[in-house]
Amino acid sequence: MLKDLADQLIAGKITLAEWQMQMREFIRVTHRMAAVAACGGMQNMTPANWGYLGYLVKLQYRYLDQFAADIAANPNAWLNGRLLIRMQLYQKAEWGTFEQMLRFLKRKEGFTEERRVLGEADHCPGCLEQSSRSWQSIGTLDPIGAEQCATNCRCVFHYRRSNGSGGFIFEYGN
Amino acid sequence: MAKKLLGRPLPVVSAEYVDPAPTQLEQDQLQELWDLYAPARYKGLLKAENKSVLEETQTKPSGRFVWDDKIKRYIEVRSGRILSMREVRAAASLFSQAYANR
Repeated sequence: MLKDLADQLIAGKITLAEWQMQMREFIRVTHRMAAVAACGGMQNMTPANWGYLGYLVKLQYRYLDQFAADIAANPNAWLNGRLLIRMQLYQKAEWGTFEQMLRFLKRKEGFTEERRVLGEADHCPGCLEQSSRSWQSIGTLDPIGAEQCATNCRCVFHYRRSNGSGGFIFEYGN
Repeated sequence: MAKKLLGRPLPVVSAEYVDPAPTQLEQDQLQELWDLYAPARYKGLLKAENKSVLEETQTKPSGRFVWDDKIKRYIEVRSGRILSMREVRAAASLFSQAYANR
């Protein structure tokens, strides 16, 4: 789908706006899937969950708006093999949405602290710095995808809260 | 066919915009798409029923998975296996990859 879409834009079969509309639909579907999977299925999607997901999807649309503006400003730089590679970053961004949705749920469940745990891939300096900060108040560490490795990031968050008797209850998210 | 002009991008999304929740029809479609493109072993995952509701109503699960709200994990009905979030995350990534390459 993404390759066809890239080829169509490069070949002049669709306009930039048509390409952007189809990209928005692609983003909407893949990010909805990630969020619903994180929430425990469609039955657990509350209006608040959909609302938060709507915000996350909006963020992706805004990245896409910038990308479309870049293409319009300099078509020669983008209407080639680079186009598909950058489009694929939107496909990989669902990992970050999955993590953000879990983070939203864990905060609602009463978890108060989070820790960034490095993924299995190579680590960028930003991820290393974030993980070195150990436990922090929930929602204060950078979201997944905000560092140099962007949508290639495979870090996750772990969570904890007090058990009321001097210990912690952990949620490792794995 | 004549080559189309690139044209202008869509107007930018406003700061106030929030992508709307899907309609029931769109929710059904999402579940169908998941079953089509997610790895076969996770087919039916998004249709997971709530375990506590099933217990309260003394109803047997109708699908392949239930969601246990106490432990916040999916359970495969046939085997009783608890799915790790790691594999759910991986399944969502594989869905996205297959959907992008369809």
